[in-house]
Amino acid sequence: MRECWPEGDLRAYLDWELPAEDQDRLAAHLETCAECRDRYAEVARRAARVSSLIDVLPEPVEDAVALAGGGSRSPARGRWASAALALAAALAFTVVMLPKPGKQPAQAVAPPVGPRPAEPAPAVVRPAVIRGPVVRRARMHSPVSHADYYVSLDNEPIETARVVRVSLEDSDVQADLIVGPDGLAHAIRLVSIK
Amino acid sequence: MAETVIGAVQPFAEPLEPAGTRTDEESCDGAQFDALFQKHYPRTVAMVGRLTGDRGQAEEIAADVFAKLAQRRGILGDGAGVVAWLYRVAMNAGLDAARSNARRRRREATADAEQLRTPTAGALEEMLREERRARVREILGALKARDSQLLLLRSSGLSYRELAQTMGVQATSVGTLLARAEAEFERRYRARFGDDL
Repeated sequence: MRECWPEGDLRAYLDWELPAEDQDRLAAHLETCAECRDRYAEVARRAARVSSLIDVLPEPVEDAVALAGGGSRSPARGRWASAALALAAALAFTVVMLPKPGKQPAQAVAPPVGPRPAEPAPAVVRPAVIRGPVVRRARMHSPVSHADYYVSLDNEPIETARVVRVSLEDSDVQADLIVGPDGLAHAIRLVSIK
Repeated sequence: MAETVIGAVQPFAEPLEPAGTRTDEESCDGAQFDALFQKHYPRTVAMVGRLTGDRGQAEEIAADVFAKLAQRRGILGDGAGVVAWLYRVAMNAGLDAARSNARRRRREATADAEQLRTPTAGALEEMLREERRARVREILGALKARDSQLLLLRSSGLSYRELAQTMGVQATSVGTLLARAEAEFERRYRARFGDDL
């Protein structure tokens, strides 16, 4: 028969962290030893008091990305994701703005003077609506009167945008770009006429 | 003149064992480092974050600790010694940050008091909660780092086996260490703030 148990064991007993055999033996001992019962009660009360105080410190909140991923977030991974997104965005912008081989670079110019189709700015653009058969029309160098179709350049929905007219130097080829608040071109239409 | 070594002062920057005196037999390779990171990064962030009240700061501290480990993983072993080292360094950095934050918060307290001239019920409750958190952090800062570490990690739900690993001790010692840490926490709290537990 074991003598009274040390406080560390009483504390471990409280957390069910003793080996199963010791857990049973200590329970049996507590039934017969008033002194250990008192000590155990005090250990348990103190543990509860201290725990209630430590618990006022909130666990740091996971950010939305980590919660969505269901796991812990790696800061390095987060930084890489940000960098990758930034790079992808920059690349997309570059691709859109790069001149086609053999052609002069496009430049933003003031809209031509004279009558032309009204262009509300900012315009509400929904790429899903303007995708599809419009591609063929745009490639046909359609005249201004039929140039109200845009070719979507990506799948990103945008709420507002600016319409920017660009033209190739020394040519009458012009195009309207739908430039989103992110500075990227999201859609294009040709407005060249003869 | 005879000299007797009666103790050692441990600086904040935990000294690492020099090369050739590995604490474990094998070095910590990439896969092991990854496993360590996956398991212990969230825990160290949680531990330090509760202490500092600032997740971003806690992430920086934890990332720094792992960066140090990455640089020196050939020197350290990959066993319990590394894990204990991780938590010890993170805890010390967290305690430093918490003290620094406490000083800053005291400076900002005047501004908060100004805002409370027209208090709302929510603002008052939040201020009282923050005051309670500040008290707990102050006492944790006054305890031995390993006692604070133990209390915080236990409160986060780590088992005795896991706690033992983070402290580099046997699991059978955790109950004793925990009971002592709680007694010391309560004693200091009562001494500093009266019986308001």
